Amino acid sequence: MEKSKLISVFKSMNFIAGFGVTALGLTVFLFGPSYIIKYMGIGMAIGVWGGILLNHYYQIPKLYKNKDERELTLMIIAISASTSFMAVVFMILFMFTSIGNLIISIQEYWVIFLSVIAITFAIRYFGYKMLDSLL
Amino acid sequence: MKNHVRRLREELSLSQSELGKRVGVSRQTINSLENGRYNPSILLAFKLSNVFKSSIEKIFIYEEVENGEE
Repeated sequence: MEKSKLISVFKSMNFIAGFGVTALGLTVFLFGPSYIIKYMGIGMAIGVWGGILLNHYYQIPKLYKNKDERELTLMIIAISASTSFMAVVFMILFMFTSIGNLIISIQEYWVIFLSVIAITFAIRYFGYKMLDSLL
Repeated sequence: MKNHVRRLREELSLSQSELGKRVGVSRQTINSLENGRYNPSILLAFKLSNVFKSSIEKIFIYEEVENGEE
């Protein structure tokens, strides 16, 4: 596939992630147990679009302009795998905390959040390295 | 799919990085190509053909196998 089309795949993935987070934020707004959580949901749904637009117009063209088709394809696979992991873990956490009755402290939340982000980046980095050496 | 990229590159005394720069891909991609792990797009095949001043058919050898994959 041509490079321009592969970059469009990244942009599409960016928008899909944006709609996913927006849906999650709106769900928190509608079903959140307290006003603070409801406002957090709205903040999340609106705030994510800043990042989405930054990625769309600046980050994606800048990051991928020097990559070739093979590298972009491997990156799409590695990013999809790592993002799927992150989405599943955060979805489970979201179900237990916002909709369920699990209560976690701010410190616990940050430990979980940073661990998941670290594992996500590790999957992306090592996943790409592994694919690069095998394919 | 087999190819003669390594031989043709060595004939021109080019490193993998130099060839990569000429055709707009990374050194790793040239390495994968030479080892037969990666089949290039038609665009990359034409770029290689221009660098080596040789036809695509002389650089790449298509071999059909039983399960339909190369």
